Amino acid sequence: MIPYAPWIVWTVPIIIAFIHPLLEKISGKLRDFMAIFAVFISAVSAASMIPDVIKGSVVINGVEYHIPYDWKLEGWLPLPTGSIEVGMLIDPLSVFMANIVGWIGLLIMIYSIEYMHGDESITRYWMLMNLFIGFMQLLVLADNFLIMFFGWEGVGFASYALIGYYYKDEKKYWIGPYSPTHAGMKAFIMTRIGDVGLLVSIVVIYIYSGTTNFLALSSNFGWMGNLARDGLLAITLLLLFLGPVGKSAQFPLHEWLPEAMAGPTTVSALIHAATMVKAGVYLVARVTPILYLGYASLGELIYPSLNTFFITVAWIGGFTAFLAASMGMVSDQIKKVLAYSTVSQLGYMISIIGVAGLLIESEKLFFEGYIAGISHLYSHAVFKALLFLSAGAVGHAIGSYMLRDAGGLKKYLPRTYLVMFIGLAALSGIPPLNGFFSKDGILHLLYAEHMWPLFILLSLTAILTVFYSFRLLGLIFYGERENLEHGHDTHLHDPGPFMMIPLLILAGASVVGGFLLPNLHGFFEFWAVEGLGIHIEKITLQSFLTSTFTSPILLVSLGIIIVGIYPAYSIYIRGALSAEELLEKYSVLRGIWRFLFERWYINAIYYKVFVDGTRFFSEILFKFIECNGAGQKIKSFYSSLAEEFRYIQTGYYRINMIYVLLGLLMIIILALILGV
Amino acid sequence: MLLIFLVFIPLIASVIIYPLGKLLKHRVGYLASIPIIASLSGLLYIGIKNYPKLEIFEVVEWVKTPYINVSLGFLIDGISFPIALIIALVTALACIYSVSYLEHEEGHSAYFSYYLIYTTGMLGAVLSTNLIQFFFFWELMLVPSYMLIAGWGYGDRRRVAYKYFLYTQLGSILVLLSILYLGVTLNTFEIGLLNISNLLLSIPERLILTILFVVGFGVKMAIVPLHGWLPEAHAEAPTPISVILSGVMIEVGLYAIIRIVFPISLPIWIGSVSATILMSLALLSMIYGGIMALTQYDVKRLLAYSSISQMGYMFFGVAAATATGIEGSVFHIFNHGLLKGLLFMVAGVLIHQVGIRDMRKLGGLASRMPLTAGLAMIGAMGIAGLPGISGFISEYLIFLGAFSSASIYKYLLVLLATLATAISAAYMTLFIKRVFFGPLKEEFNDATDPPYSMIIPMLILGITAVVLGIYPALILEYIIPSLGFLMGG
Repeated sequence: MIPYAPWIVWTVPIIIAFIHPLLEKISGKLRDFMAIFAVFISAVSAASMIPDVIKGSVVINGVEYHIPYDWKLEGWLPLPTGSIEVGMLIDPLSVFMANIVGWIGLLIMIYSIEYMHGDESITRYWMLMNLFIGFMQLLVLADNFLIMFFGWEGVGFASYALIGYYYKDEKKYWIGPYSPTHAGMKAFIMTRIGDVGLLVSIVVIYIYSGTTNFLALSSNFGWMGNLARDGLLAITLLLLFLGPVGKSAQFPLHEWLPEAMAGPTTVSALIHAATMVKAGVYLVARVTPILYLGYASLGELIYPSLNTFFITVAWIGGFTAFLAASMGMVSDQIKKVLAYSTVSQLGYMISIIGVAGLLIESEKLFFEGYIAGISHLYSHAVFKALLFLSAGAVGHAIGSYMLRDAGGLKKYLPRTYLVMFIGLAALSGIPPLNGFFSKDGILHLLYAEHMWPLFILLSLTAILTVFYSFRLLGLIFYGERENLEHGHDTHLHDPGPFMMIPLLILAGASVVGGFLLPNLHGFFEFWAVEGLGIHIEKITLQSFLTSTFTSPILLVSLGIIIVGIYPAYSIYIRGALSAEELLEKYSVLRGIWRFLFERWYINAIYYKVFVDGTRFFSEILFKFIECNGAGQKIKSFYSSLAEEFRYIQTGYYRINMIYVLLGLLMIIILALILGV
Repeated sequence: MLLIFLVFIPLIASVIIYPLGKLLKHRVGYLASIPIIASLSGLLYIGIKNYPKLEIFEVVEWVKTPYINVSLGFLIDGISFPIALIIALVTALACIYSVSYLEHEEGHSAYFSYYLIYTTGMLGAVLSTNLIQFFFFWELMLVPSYMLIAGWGYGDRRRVAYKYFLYTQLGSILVLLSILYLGVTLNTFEIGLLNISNLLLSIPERLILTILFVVGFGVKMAIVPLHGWLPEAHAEAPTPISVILSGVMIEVGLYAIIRIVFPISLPIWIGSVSATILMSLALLSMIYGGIMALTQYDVKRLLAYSSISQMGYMFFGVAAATATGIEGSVFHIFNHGLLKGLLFMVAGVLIHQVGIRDMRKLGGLASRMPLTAGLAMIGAMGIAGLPGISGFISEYLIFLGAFSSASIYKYLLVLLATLATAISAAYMTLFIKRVFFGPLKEEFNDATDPPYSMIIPMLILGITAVVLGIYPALILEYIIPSLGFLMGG
């Protein structure tokens, strides 16, 4: 490990973020270089922790510590009941996440050089991107809830500012009826509602346990027992889950992500696909082992609450996966399809971790489910970043992200076509790409454990996924290129090296990523044995491949692909059927199309109820209470008081003198009584 | 003698500033800031020297007759130090900020003289050790602020100032009555001796006194439904005075509750029912203020309603009557001074540079005033409770304190209070969006960031807010040691 690596990982990008305005004054080149260099440092430091995690011990200042190691600085937040410290946690999950953020972040930053070239406020872009990466690393490395919440809200802020990056709201950046700044606000407030739950549960857990530290929470379970006895464990866990629901855009707080596409595409790739939206999955993955250990020691006392929690997690995830995939089938905008797809894939991850929690009684199955979630997170980070970046290349070439402006691009952008094809194939789960292996792991567990409802739901979702992936491919690259008279089209070309190299690297990672999953498994093994006390068999590549390709689930996977590809291929790629004609012919299809296109009307309802409702309610209050209420009462009270007293202010000399005498008399009497 | 010196030096200086103002016009503001900066340096000196356990007591004889014996005493401890510090800091910065702001106004002499008297009033009220003296300073901060609003405000300023005066005076009467009753019954006016009220006051007496005090101070704090004066006064006051009114003055009322009401009413305050009632009242302020802020189009009025909402948070922590809650409230007073001060200064920049405060007519200013926009973002995010800016830690402590209170509905109360932060986020992002984002209107093409005398005070506030957001222990270390005594430990 590089000395102080867990600190360098997040401090360097944040510090560099704040000196960008100064660097800009020196030279634009230096600023661009430093922006990328900061992320490079972060990524390298994150990578340097990998060997220590595999080894299971870390040497700091000459002393050897076991993993998970909690590196604390004392006395950051003094409280009457002790203090909360800042600390970094080195364990497989945090190091794994830090590497995802660091390396994918680095590729996206390199891609940004070309993509954002010539933007007038590029300094702000670099600043916010560095800030985001710093906060994201803080989020994943934090050793306690409160510090994690710093990162959590920090990335939320960066996301808000980057969605509204084109703050002048030029029409071309609008997503449907929403301007970029509106979209930013929507994202900020909607995730904030989730954060409310998270914050409350952090408070409650602190009050019951006296700590927010992850390791301390997983070594002493009195708090869980006490919460369960007070009947608060389930509600507290569900409130905690509200945070991930907001951040990872799960139902019912999923509506912010489609509009979040108003930001630059690199932002969508980094924040709204590969990393920030994974924070919710990360948090669920962070909490689940703590609950597992709690169950191992408290057993039946907390089991009902845990069961409620995990059922909710599994089903919210499963339902969101289906919901978003269904919306993705009809979207009219490239990035929006990918956004729905992200929501859907996040649903898979959340769902499978929830399933792992439901299998808490069997240590082996618990771990299998857990790893399945982590594996899918890893695969998805790679192929979704790839997809967004290749969408960026398409948008860069044609100057629009609307599907109606795309089409027939295959011969103009051959390399972009290649990488995007790999990305979409990975998303569809076509072997041997990484998406196949990780999705297979999820379905396999559900199948093996006979969780039929979820299995069917997620398999159905997988079919929809294949459909919208190939629909997207067809609509962008196949068909005839219309409007060729526009001079612009003759200049269509693949992007330059700064954009192409990250794309190729990510495409390569999507191809080989699946074969690295046994290594990922190995990465968590030591921790599982030492930290969770789970005895697991080591997985080699050979055994992994054998079990994958001999399992009956392979047939299901292939079936899904065929059922999904066939209609998409015949409508959008071969052009044998026309989508418009089909819609015209069957009114049922038309109805479904409208329902899906309007996002199940959820968005519209939210706006009607929460936005218009609040506005209406507050205006009524303002009009009838604030303007005619208490203020006026006080005024009339004073004037009536004055009216009464007016009678004693007669203005007659004699009467006034009588008052004076009476007053004197009273003073004398008082003085006599008090005996002065 | 240091404490007496740092309380009275602005008052004494006001006499000198008045004639100088005739000569120097608005630039006398720079001179006027010197005594406040002197007080501020004195406070900082005391703070740094006595870190982290701070308790300094000074006393001189004031009124000595055979019947009444009132001494002039000043106490600085972990509770009063942060509040005095933020008063001195915000008044010093707002004083410098006033200079450019008042360029085109009349009566600089009177303005800065009142300003200095006002400062003494607030510092004195916070550091007082007996009730008579406290009330003296309490009224001393009312009169100049009334004059400042009536003389240099906007719109219907005379009426607004009159309303402000009447409202707060009504509160003051209740406070005075209770103070006199306490003094007669306990035979002392010393705040430090109020603890003995345990022996001398019956429960009904305490209950009535508590109600009178809470209502009396509640008017100053603008707890809903006693807030009627605030939106107008804070919106129509000259902006540097709004900075002080919202940033520090209303918080003195809360400080008074912590200092004066707690010792006499702690036993009944801690009970479940009273905690629930008071916390609900605070919750009402939070949510009501937030919802009202959502409907406002006037920048300053939005900020004024936001102050009502934020005051609700501070009162929430105090109402919970737990050590952590009070720690959070005191720290939130400090942070609110920084953040709301900063935001009102941003509003002042809009008035000064663009001349418009109606958000419907503003828009796109971020490209013309990047520095102001950045600072406004810090202020807005701080109020919205973003970690990394100081407001978050204090809100967190308040919620922590509230959840350990005695109320049986604490889970629900904390949940609703936290939900109110989502409302804060909503009106603050709306404010930023309407003022700074969107297409730039043509008439603002020449708008620029304000002169240094306005931007530097804002920078200091913003940077302090960020530093404390990252390392809150700087202030919290002072508060902790004093909490035990306060809670009767």
